[in-house]
Amino acid sequence: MRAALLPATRPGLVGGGAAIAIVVLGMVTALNERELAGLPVGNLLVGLIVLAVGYRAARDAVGAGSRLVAGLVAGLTAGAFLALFMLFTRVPGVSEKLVQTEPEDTDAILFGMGAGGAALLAVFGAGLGVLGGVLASLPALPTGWLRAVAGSGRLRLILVALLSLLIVGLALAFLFGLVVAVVGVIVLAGLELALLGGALASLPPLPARLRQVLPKSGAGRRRLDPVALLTLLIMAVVLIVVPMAFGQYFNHVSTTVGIFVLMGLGLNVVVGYAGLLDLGYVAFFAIGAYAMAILSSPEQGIEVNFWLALPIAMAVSGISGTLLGIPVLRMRGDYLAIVTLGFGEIIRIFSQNLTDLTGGPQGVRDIARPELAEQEFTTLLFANPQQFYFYLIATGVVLVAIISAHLLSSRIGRAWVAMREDEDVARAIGIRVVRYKLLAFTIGAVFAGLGGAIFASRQNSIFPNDFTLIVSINVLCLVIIGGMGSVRGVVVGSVALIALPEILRELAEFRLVTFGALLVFMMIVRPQGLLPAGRSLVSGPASLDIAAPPAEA
Amino acid sequence: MDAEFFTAMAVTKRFGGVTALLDLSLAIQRSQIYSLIGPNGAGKSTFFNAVTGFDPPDSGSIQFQGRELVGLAPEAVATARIARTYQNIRLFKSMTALENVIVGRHVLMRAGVFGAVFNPPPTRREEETAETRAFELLDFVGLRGREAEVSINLSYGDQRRLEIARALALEPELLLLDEPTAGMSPAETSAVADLVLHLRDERGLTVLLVEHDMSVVMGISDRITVMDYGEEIARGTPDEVQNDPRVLEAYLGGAA
Repeated sequence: MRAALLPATRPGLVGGGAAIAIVVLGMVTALNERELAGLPVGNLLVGLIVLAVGYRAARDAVGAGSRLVAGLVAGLTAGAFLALFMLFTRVPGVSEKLVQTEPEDTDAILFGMGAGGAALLAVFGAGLGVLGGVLASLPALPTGWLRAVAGSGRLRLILVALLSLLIVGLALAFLFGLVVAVVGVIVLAGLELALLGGALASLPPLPARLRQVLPKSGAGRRRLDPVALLTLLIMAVVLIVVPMAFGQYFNHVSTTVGIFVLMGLGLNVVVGYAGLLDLGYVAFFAIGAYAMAILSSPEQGIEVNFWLALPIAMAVSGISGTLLGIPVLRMRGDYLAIVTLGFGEIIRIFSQNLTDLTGGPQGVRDIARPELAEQEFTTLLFANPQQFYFYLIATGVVLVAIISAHLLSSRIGRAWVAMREDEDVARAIGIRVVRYKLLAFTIGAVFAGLGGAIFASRQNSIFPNDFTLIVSINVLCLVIIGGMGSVRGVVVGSVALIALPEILRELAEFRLVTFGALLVFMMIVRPQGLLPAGRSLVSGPASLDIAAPPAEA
Repeated sequence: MDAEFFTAMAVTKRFGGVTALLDLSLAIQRSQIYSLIGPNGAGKSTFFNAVTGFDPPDSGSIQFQGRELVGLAPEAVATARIARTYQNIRLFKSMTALENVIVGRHVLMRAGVFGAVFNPPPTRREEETAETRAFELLDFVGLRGREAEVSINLSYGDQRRLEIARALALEPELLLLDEPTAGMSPAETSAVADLVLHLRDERGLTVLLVEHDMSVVMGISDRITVMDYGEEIARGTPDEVQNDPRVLEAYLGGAA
């Protein structure tokens, strides 16, 4: 048992260090302005770290007794480390160096009791550590049923249907009151029941996994199976109702997320599928946005319709992707990353200095909104213009996601993956890698161009500062965190990296620190990303699994 | 025409001061199993790389069905229906066995962006054929039931066999096998030897084989070239080669 003591101090020190870092950076104070179940969120976070430390230490120990001891030691170490540091900040002269924290904040961590508080904190840490140890000693949760739900078409279908009823009901209640909500839910339930009955009856009895392995007969290939079709339908209903129910803020956040999903899906083709590290991806987003701006704003005197400018902007962006691809084709890995990084900056600097075309730092104003039948669609149908952008972007995301999934499960996708894994072998098989690299660059650029064009229209005016390096980095982060090569991962990554910071506004200044920590954490704990790419290089029902969920955006 | 199915003439390749191949010439008839043997570093893999376009020779000519291969990019060599395996297994690790074989069929398929996105009937038929053929090939090399296995999870011997299946997916006219039985048990080795024989006898495939296992080489080869230090030291049928004093010397050293 003594052998377990020393190793347990290590996670303790790491966790204590992490806790000190977030206190010193002022994150705890900032977060404490919010409460969760009556508890200040900042302190909760510190507690959670210590709990995790206890859990981590206990997992390495063998036997129930030593697990608890390991948890205790780790928690005690973390708590004591934090407490000692807080005492240290009271040494005259130290506190002034910590510009992000006030002495009162560190005092508060010690319960305002000084040395006594420090001892108490250490005891608290020990307690939490033991709790972590207890958690680690619990028998593993039976996750079998979860997997059963995910694997079974029927259960998933029922779950999706119930969820849709809940969301639609809530939305209708918000909008039109209880009576309409009840009626709406009943109507929808009837509709779903009618569809579900048919779908359930026609589901093949084989488990999904087995079906993918068996050679498929011609009839069933890549046709929408009933589960996927219904899932899509329900998602569509939910997507249509949701933006009506929630306010402008929701629509603003969700359209921002959607634009990043579009970019993420494009970069996913370049980095995830083809394995080409592009650090200047924002360039294509900027080109799409400026193409839309220049074509549709009155400033250049062209002023074409949004719907005409949109495909042109995508084409311009795609062509620039091909053009960039040609010189960088023969570069591998790091060199490619550096060249693309430079390209991203070149485009931004162009947009700053080509004043005649881009307006320079003043930007381009009065970019067209989508119109239909001589009337602004946005005012025709919807009180709130953001609402229309929500539908536009959601449609774009669904289309782009389906196209990406189809590309991956085709001859092209297989060639990309082969090229990514072993370029020489891919060539020996007859894959013309130059052509496929160009194709990846071009398709990625078209997707980013679409995102950029819609972004320009939504913003109404754009400036060079909208297209800095940090956008490229954000997009790359969301692709990595979501899971490279995974369409679902891009959506989850965007929500995690774009929506969460948007909602947790207090944390805005800690965004980069959190990003960095999150990336390091992910690389250690789950390098394949939150939702890694599934196995779907062969077309079939599996490809739909990828296509459907992006509708959540 | 058939007499000149595959010929290499005076192929020479130098890496700096090292001569990896010197004036190597050989001719392979259609549906022959032709073996290249020799001690490590004799230049066998260099010759493979010269044929497949990865390391073009400094001089000499390599003709395949009347076509010059020297100067062709690897992609073009593959299009000429020459497939190869690797001494150190090089599968696409994240792909399943089935996907590895299907991607091997790349040059026989046509679908572009339009086909991928819209999946029109020609693409659908093409994908179906590819899948059916891949299942057949996996069955042929003895990987039935392992189709959905991610290739890195396969056993060593299975990975070797999968590499052969991937090469066969190209429907090659000439198959280059680089030590296909390396690291295999005697039972697995004889299974691979049978497989190669079967390819020649049932499908008329031409095979260029690099192999260290002499029982395999002597048992299945039609012709053999023995190399040492990049040069040919003997050539002929298995019987002729086995009794050549220079071969014995190269293999057993001066003591023999």
